[in-house]
Amino acid sequence: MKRKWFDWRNIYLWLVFLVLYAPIFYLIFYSFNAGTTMTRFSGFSWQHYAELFADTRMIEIVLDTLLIALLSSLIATIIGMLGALAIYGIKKVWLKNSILSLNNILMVSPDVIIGASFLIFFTFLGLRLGFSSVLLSHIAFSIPIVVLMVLPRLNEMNHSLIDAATDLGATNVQVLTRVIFPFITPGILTGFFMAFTYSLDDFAVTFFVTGNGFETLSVEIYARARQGISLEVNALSALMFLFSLLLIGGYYFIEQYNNSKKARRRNRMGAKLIK
Amino acid sequence: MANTIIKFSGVNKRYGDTMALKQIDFELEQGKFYTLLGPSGCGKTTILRILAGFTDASAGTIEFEGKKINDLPANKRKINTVFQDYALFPHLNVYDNVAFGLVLKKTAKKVIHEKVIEALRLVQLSGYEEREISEISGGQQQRVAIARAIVNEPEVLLLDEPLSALDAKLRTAMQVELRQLQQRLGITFVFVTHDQGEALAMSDEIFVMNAGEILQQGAPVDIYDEPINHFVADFIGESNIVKGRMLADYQVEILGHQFECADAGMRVNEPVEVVIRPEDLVLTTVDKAKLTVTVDTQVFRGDIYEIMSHDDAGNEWLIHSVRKTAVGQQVGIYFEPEDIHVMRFGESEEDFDARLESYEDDADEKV
Ligand SMILES: Nc1ncnc2c1ncn2[C@@H]1O[C@H](COP(=O)(O)OP(=O)(O)O)[C@@H](O)[C@H]1O
Ligand SMILES: [Mg+2]
Repeated sequence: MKRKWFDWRNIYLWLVFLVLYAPIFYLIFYSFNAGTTMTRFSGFSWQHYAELFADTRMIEIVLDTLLIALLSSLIATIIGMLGALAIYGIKKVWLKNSILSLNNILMVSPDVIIGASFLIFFTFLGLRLGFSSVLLSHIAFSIPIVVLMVLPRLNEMNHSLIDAATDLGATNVQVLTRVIFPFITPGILTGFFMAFTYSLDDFAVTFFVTGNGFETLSVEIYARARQGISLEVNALSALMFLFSLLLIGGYYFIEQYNNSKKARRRNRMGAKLIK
Repeated sequence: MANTIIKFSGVNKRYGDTMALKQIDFELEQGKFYTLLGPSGCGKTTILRILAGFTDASAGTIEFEGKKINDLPANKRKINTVFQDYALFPHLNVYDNVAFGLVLKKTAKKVIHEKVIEALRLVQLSGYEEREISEISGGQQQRVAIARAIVNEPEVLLLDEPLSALDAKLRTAMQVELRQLQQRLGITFVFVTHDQGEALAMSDEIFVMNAGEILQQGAPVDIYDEPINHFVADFIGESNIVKGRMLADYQVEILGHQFECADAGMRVNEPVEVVIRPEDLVLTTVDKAKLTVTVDTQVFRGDIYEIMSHDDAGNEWLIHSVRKTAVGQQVGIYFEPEDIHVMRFGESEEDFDARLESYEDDADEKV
């Protein structure tokens, strides 16, 4: 009999993981290199991490990038959610579809085009390029993502829930806060995290609209890579990878915690019923 | 009318080109169990939605306790609804679903607790307070929906086909429970169904609807025994409907034979339709028969035999008999004059009621 783990499907899975993760681990591995290139590992050292923490410019850029991501995704989530609610409320089918199409066009159009048009727009308005122009453009390209995450949740909602809440005496605001929000919260959270990662990731749009004196991480790394990459970037990548792992672990933990809380409550109730 | 709580006058509802409701007039009395009965798409839900305030009438007035409420928003009406799909809030447990209306009214926590516990006791769900909605069965969800509505102590409770998702046994049990609940609470129920058996079993008064109109209104027995037209006769229970001619008062001709009947007030020789319920037809020998038919099929239903047969003119006759017969056999059928109900073509409910009243007085005098 064949051994269980030997299976073509398993092999395929391992191969995929290998291909996807190998470059990352390769990068992380060399962040501990005592030498300065990724061609030869000459010994273990923390030297590149020390370099990174001494590089105040880099730390500042990381913080700026996180700030932009956090602010833009927060604002985009609020606007996108309101937009989704507005689109949900539109009765005319053609109008609804046209607005949705406009939303989707923004999703699929190349970042370069969006970046270039923002640049033209901002210079036309006479806006100084820098923090605010990057923030505005990140908000703008995040809104369609949030709309796309929230709208399906709204459509999934049984419309008679709204009638039922009204029937029980809820005002429009109460319907929104007590019925609609709780129902679409998962969509809002997904939208927020998607917007956050899109903002962290973005290179093309940011490249156009950042002026002198303000950089985000992707733009900075690009600039440095052109002069030959330093292993300090590897150290940064390793830290960010660790950070993502922690985020995902935290998310998983919260999920587990919620489930077990529900289960505990059920047990308690079972006990009460037996009494 | 004494204690009128709701009054519809000339209510219309148009959706684009379709008239969902045409000229609806009715009055509901406080404390009665009303049923809107009609096939799917006839406008039952539309009436409930207009009553609850989710939809505006295109024309006409709706009065509640003598005051026009056309422009009163749904959240201000002393009316609550049990939705066809229950519409329970999935993010709240049973207790919080039932408490929803009271919390909005800023009722004291202690009072809310007492009322919710009491409402759940009424629908026999004590002990289910902490359950999630996804953890209870369809029948239990339906009862939560009822508890959530009655806990607000509405004057009128609207129920939109609340039993349609339940299996037959639970459904019969819930019919009895709902009826008892209504009598205990003493409030007005407006119950919607497309199931005639359900309507007959539960109601004080039935409105039979078709295509956006109320065809007939009356107590279950009256509607069953004296349907106004072919549609109502056919929709309320099984019936044999044949063409006939009114020879004189209390005399009708069917299939070339003259029969005594209990109807009057029509023109001489007026063409009419005659209804005879299958359970009123008695099998007999051919020589004692009022009509002779040939048996086509016979199905045993437990309490009765359901016999399909036809006469020489090709009319089908459905007979409910406690005695069995044989397929292919010629049998006689017998019925009493009161078993015949004569219907005029295109008679309005008003004329119908007036005519019935006129000769029922006659009959009383004769006795
Ligand atoms: N929102 C709506 N838009 C257009 N037509 C509707 C709408 N609601 C109901 N109708 C139409 O009105 C008629 C009555 O519907 P409804 O009151 O739901 O019937 P019932 O509850 O008796 O099945 C139907 O022909 C239906 O198609
Ligand atoms: Mg309906």
